[in-house]
Amino acid sequence: MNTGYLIQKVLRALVTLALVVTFIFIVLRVTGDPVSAMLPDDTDPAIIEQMREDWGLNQPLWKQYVDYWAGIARGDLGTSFLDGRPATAKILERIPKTLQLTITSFAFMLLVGAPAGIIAALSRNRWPDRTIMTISVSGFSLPNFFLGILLILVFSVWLRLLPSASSGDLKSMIMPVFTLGTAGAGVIARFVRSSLLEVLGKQYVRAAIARGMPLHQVVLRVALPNAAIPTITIVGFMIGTLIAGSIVTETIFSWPGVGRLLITSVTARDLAVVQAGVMMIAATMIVANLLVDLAYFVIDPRIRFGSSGERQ
Amino acid sequence: MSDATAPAGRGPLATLLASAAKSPLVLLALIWLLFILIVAIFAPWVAPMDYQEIDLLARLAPPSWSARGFHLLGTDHLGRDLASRLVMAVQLSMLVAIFGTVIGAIIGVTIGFVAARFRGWVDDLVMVFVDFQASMPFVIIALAVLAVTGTGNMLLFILLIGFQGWEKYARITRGMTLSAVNHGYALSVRLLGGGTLRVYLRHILPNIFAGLIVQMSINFPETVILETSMSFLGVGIQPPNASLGNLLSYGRDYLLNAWWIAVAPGVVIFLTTLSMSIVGDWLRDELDPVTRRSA
Repeated sequence: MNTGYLIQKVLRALVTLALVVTFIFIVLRVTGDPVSAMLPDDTDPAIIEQMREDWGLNQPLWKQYVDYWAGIARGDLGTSFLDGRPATAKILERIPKTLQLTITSFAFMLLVGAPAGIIAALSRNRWPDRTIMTISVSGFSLPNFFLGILLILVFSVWLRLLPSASSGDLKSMIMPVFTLGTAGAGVIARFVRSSLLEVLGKQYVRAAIARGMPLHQVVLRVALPNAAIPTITIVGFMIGTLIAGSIVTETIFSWPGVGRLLITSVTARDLAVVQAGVMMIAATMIVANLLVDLAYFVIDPRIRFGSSGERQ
Repeated sequence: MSDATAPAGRGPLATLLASAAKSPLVLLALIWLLFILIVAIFAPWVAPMDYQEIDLLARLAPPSWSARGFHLLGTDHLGRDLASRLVMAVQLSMLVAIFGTVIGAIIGVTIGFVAARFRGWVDDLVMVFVDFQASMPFVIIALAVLAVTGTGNMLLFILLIGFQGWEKYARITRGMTLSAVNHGYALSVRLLGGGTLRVYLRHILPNIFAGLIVQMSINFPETVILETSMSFLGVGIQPPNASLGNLLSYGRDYLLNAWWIAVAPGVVIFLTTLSMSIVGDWLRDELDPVTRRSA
């Protein structure tokens, strides 16, 4: 077994996590004084001094850095200055709503994108292929905020079929999921198509066809498992797109998730909540990337038994 | 490279244009981009009215061609002419996207060169940062920075947008430089006494330029979408300045009685990013020797 690969990937995830924490620390403490950034210019100097003391800002920088890590270890990322509640709690209570939206959209992306890509590859250069690829290119050129607005215009304003804001029932999920998933479905369709076409041109696939294996079996048993390997990479990448897209989608549809909280916190300069949100998203991304690497390890025997330290 | 395959007597640009003429889709995309570019450059002259002029007597007027005013897209809640605001928004959004793309390329190429020149721990460090950036959606990092600096500073915002995609430039520059250094020409310039800077800027940069152009064509629509998304969310370009994103966000409040306010900037963004993707795909096929060989 190639355990070097696993150790390398886990180490890299840990290094990235440390980089994120350091990056946020630098942005918060070095690029400007968070207290004077938050308070109006004419604030009493005594109050500023008091806040600097409360936040430990008059300590030496290395001490602040160590304290920062200690705080993270305790799960303490400060309190929201808007309502005085712990920032982590404010983020955590929003997570289920965001997961509901992103996981459904992810399923939508795969269930629409993968079959579309397979159909396109099998009908290469004929009309189903051309139609699917045209829709796919338009799908990821259409900014999701514009798609969301168009959906609201057509289905809420004109047809009065769907609610324009989240109300908790299933009907209010249709438009947000479509908004968030369409671009990704386009990317996946394109990617599945090209990797399937590549595999279909390989000797072993042609050999299977030549031996008289029915085409649907060739595709399902031989070509697809091999085409799936490069597709996993793009799926890992899509998670980042989903998180970024959920910020926009949640804002358009008044969806009470982490993304919308992040935007209102940035506008209000509620630093503790912003840093807790960014850290939570970063940790999610790092874990997702690690899972993708592990999936490679499980699926691809070349990695499981091959040489370690290879970059892709 | 591209010169080698060009027919005798024609430069690479002429060859490119000849190939564009063969595909109607690419031609249409190029025409749209040219149109947008002209509108952006000559915006103050194209705009029918002063885009910040407030006319409180003509608030939320529908599209009209009356004696009161020539409002192709009507007016907003302060009576400002929306068509003029759209034209100025095209200018600002394109300006941010072009500057953003160029800044990202300069930063990325420099970092890529440094990694390829020094190798060793410098290279490792650069790659750690590249991997870190590649695993984080850029908008999250931008939001973290904007939370500290505030959202009012346009220059800072453009600079921030510029960082988008630096890691991709750095990665391809590093890769292409490493393979170029091993080619005879870089080595011979070095042996003839050319300094490091001369080798990199005069000899290696022109050779990896095609790859960089392709990357820029991919990066440009991403930059447009990043800027317009952030302006849409209210953390990018702020009113009274008009961006395609904040115009769209403003139009959202008037979907019931003036849907065109939101749809017009949206269509402009969509057509621009779509055109750039089409042109980018075409450029990649034309300029990238790797895909050209396998095609």
